[in-house]
Amino acid sequence: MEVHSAQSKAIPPHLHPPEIVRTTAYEDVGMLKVANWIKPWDFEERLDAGIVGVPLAKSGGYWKGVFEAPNAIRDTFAWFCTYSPDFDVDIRDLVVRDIGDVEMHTTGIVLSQERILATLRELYLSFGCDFMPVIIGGDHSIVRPSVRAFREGRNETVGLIQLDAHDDLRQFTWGGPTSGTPFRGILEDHSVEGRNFVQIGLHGFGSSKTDLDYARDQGAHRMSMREVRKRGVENVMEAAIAYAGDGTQAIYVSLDIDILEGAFTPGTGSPEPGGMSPGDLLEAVYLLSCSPKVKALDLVCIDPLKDIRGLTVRMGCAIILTFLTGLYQRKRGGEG
Amino acid sequence: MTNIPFLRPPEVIRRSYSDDRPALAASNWITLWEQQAIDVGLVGVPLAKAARNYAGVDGAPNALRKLLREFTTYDIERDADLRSLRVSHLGDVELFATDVARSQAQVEESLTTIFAFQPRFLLVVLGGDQSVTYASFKALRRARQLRTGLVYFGSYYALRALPEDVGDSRPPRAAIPDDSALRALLEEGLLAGRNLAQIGLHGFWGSREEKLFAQAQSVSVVTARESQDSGIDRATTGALEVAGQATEAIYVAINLNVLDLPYAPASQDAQFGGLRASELLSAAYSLGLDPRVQAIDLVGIDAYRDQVGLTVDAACAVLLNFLAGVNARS
Repeated sequence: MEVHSAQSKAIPPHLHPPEIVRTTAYEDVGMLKVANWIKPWDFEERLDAGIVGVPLAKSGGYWKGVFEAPNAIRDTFAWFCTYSPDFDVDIRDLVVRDIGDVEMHTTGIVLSQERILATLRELYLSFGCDFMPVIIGGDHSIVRPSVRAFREGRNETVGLIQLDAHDDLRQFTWGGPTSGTPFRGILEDHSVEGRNFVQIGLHGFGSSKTDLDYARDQGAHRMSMREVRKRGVENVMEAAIAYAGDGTQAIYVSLDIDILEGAFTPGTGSPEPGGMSPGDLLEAVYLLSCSPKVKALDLVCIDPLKDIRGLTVRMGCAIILTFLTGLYQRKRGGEG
Repeated sequence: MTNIPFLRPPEVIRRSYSDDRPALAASNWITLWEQQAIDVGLVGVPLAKAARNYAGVDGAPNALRKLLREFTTYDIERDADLRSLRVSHLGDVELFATDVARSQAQVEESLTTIFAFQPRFLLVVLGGDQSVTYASFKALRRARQLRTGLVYFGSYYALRALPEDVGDSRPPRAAIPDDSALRALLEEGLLAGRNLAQIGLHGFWGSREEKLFAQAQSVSVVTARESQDSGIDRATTGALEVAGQATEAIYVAINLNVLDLPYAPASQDAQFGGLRASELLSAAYSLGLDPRVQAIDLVGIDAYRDQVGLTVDAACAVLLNFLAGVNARS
């Protein structure tokens, strides 16, 4: 990591401590609850992964309660442990901390998007890039500034894997940089080149051919949900890593929770029938996180205010922990 | 046909075809406006993004249109039928998804044309958040050039100082946050403090700074407790007197959060300690009856989280009681 002067280590002005600091008293011998494990970061400790909340909810066409997702996930970590029988590993040796939230402006939606870019970029530039950022949205509009900050903060070429029910490639004519537009924005910004952009899991009647043709003309890759079902998760993730990693130095994974079958995701803005099963999604996340090129994750469109019994929020927690499991195995295997 | 900028047809057209004659469902009574002469027009302004606490108030216009199916034009309390009043749905004002200031400007422009329309009619604005009052009141002033007073029912002052960091600050204008809506009207000189009457304030909200500002501007404030002590009719009459003092028109703004929380659990920023539903309905009738009242808005209805439908139901009742008052104007 490059050593910066003390001056450049200023905490970005719109980065606030986490709004919820959750611990739990219910912890058996030998058990470590995730809420007790992931503490607020002191901006000193060396990190393996850092969580940043980006609670922007106003970029969509109608009301969404996705601003509450970072807090809901923090709160729900009290129900999870660091050990998983699925992988028979305990990830407690990873240093994972809660960096806090980017502050959103009440009425300035584009201003909030600009703040996300400035804040994350400053975070990476000031505190180094050798940790895995885990960005919790927010609606999907946050991915454009987040990927750009990642690209500019790391000064590396970036590939992008999008797991999503919808293409989010819409044009800006209807309402500006809405939550339906971020991937068009990313391609226009050249944060990622089309040939390193992979869309996985698109399904349902929620996209337009015009927008998908635009991505195809940029050289982007697409594997619809039907294709995932036919080829299998492992095969598709291997292909995705190959496309996104072809000639790039880092891969950013953007995960919209609505890739899941709608029946499993009451807490999202546009639940779609015909989506991925939770088991397949966790496997996909694990396979991606095992790739040493994968260096960032965002998780968007979890709406705790529409959720039922916290199901969707819990899935969000499971995704983050499964992702960290792959990271742990990479570290244990000698990487980093 | 007059071109009305940013006005789109209603997203929901709800009618009833069950034969319940001689009753007339409110949904069938209210027609679609094709610029014919009417007494009352309803316009939706699904603007939700000026809110400090973002809520699903953009769902309210459609929810209200759908629920009108469950009411008829006959008012049992006053033994009156409203069906001869000509009421129409105008549609919704189109907004811009990622720019609140631009959305507020579009609302102002659209409503200005509507308020200027001849022959005139009384306008009911279905919000939306409290910032809709700012744009709508401003449009009324611009279109009709009348000195106008304002009667406001709500749980908070809406007099919070405008933020210095104004957000959508691209010139020529900044967005007005919901809880600064009335402050902005006073500071822009569109409304005189002595013609602003507030009723029903309650709960733990904002800061003392707003009260001191209200005092300095000679705003008339009657809290929920005070209005219950004096009686809602007396409070309403007093408010109309304040708003009508040396003015030529009165605008009424009702945030459903003025109600006590159990009556409107999905109203935006609801708190315990508000008015009873019967008090607000009585006030709505009195306001409708006053011929100086030229417009009313209903805001703060979070239709997406209104699980049992109480809040939208309360808003429909306020609307119909207001229209009953309008119908009884001599």
